Amino acid sequence: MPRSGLLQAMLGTRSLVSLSLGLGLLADASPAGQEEAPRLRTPLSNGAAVFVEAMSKAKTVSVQLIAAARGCEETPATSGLRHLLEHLLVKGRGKDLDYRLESQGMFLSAETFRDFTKIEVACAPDKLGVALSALSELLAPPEIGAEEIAREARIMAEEAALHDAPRRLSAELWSRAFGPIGADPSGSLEVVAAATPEALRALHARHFRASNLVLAIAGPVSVDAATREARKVLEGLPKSETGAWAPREPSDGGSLAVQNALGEARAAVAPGISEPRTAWLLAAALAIAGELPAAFVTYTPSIRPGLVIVGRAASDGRLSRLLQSFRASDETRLFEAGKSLARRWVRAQTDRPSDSGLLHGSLMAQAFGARPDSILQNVDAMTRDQFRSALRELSGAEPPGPADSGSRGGGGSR
Amino acid sequence: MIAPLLAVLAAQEPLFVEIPDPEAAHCVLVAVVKLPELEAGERAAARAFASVAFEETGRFSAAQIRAWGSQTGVPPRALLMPDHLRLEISMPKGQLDTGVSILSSILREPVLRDEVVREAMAQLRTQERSVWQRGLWAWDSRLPAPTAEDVRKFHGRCVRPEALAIAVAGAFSPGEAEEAWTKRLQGWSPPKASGAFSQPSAPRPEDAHGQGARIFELAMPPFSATDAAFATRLLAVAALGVGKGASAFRVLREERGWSYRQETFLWPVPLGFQPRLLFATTRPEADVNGRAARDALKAAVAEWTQADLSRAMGLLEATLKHGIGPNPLYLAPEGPLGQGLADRAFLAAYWPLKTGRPFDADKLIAQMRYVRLSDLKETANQMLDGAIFV
Repeated sequence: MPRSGLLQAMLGTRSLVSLSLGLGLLADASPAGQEEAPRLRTPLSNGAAVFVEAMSKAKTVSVQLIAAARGCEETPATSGLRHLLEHLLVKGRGKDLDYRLESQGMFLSAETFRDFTKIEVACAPDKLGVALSALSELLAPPEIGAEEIAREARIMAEEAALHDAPRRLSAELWSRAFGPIGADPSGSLEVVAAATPEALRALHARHFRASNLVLAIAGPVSVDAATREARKVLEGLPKSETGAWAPREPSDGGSLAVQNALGEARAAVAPGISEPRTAWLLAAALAIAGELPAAFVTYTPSIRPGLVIVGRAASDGRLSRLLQSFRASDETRLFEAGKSLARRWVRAQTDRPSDSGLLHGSLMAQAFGARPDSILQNVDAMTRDQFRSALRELSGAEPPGPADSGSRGGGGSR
Repeated sequence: MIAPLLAVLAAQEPLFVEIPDPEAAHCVLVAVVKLPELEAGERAAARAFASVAFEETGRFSAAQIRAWGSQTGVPPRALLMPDHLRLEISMPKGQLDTGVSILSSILREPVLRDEVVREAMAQLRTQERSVWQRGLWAWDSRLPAPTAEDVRKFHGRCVRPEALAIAVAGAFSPGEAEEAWTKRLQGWSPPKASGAFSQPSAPRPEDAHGQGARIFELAMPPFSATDAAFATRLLAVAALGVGKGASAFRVLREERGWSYRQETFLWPVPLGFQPRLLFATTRPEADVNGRAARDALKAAVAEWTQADLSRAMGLLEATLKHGIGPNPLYLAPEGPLGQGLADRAFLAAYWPLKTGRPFDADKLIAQMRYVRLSDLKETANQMLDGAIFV
């Protein structure tokens, strides 16, 4: 399954927002073992890393293999290959990994994001060893045949047909903001259909090389024991250099808007998870979404520039009207609501093993020192003026006219 | 977690459950209204009521409800399923009484203004649902647009003390919630409303922008919530279509390549539960349809071994006890319940209202251990044989 960073929660008469939120940041490279008490992050000599968080009240353990997309960022010629690899890889060596895990009360899931791929096994605490063994199976070069690729390409076409309105609106905005390198991680079906086993094995070698990998464990575990077991999985991999991310810069800094039969959405470019402006935009987007039914917010936690998007899966223009109708007197209420909602969602991302493992692990895979701490500080320190600037940035784009089709800041997405 | 305290105050009075959790930072109040079989006009009115329930009451304005109810960062919500309506509000520690006051006012004295209902219906009509949601809620597109009078009738007919279960979970002292609720619901004995509802209208046009995916459904025969073979039926549902090792995934997706998403689940209906198998496909109906899917699944059932029973057992045990993996009990509009305080409170109220006893995962799992492979196959075959293709 590919993901663009969206989790929606429809809350009856009013909907709110949830987002795969990431906080924190990439500060400086921290030395081994630096983290607050129940968490331990451990760099390995080959470039891989282990993150373990003890969550004593949790019932389940989340074990996640997270591979940064550094060095295999997609271009129009490779769009969708990481997604295809994810589909094929998680079948395991005997093509029955999920069946084996489910028989033991464990569950495997995987998602491809723009900046990383996540493969997760959820299990009871006494099955941690089995989960690690399952994930270690995926580090070996995959055995993939041409027929298997063709079959999976058909399934991926079925998957693409199920993309919902928020997903499609967000994909349109990403493409407008970043051009072809901002394409949805589900990718091009043509590229996927033309993939070869050799290309996928080469991609696996680049994507799952040690310096891109984090093994994240969160749940009711002993930090030391879990770290020890996780190290065994990754330590045998050959050493690799971290390398640099390919640039991802927006084509210009203006606001973005899309309105079509699917609904409407506004976006602003967030500079990176640790930057204060990212926190301001999140608070503003959440405050806007809290005013409307069927609204959504998306943000993919990243150290790289990305989009904060607020939208609504309805074609009645209410989002545009709301944004045009904001008055100065609304800003106090929205400011407080935005702060409260941003704090709540930040905390929600660290409540459960799966969310916390993903948040910490994905940031760590992008840059070892990246931490989900600064966003709360940035939300707390946000002034009304800063919130207002973010609100205006998201509100600023005029809704597109019906004849306008495709230029930046206007046009439909079909 | 402290075991729920369950009390039926008296006949014709709401069922009441307290789940105190001294470590919680807030409390969640959930009211569950059991719904009878509703005809289309009533269902439409129920949907409208869910949309406007938190707008205004005799004691609270919409702004007050929003301000009070959003303090925890979770807005109040109303969720409608075929067999129940769920009203929920979350309050900070120490404000239980205010929450009880708001929710009881919604139950007893909602203000259902014409213009508010009209606006809510207009919004519902323009909201885009995913292809999957359209399949899951296929009946929704055929519902009429109710009037405020329809909504008031629905409230008078269905939102009643004898159809109600209430759960409160989170930060409060034992007995505190029950006392507050008893005080607020005292003397509530509304007359039962009657009269006809608006009639169904033409289906709402949808998928004008779709990408060609359709949902096929095998709607299997419903069974009672207290069915003696509930454990066997749940196992059969899991073996057929829950998880990636299930037959639906293996056959419809991996072998045939028909579908990316396919799920089997128990759908709550007034009679009990209905097993449903949904799968999405872009393939032409001439090649892929419910009948072809059923035949393929029956062939898979014939090949089931003890390993398939063990996989279904392992998956259900993990999801029912620990919340791991997919849960085939679809008790919320988006699918299964989560593990949070609100969903736990809901289940504590809903299950006794539905079955007459608290939800007991351990007992259910123990019953599953006695299920034989032959029983599993026979049950799955009966379900598939009785399926209606939608």
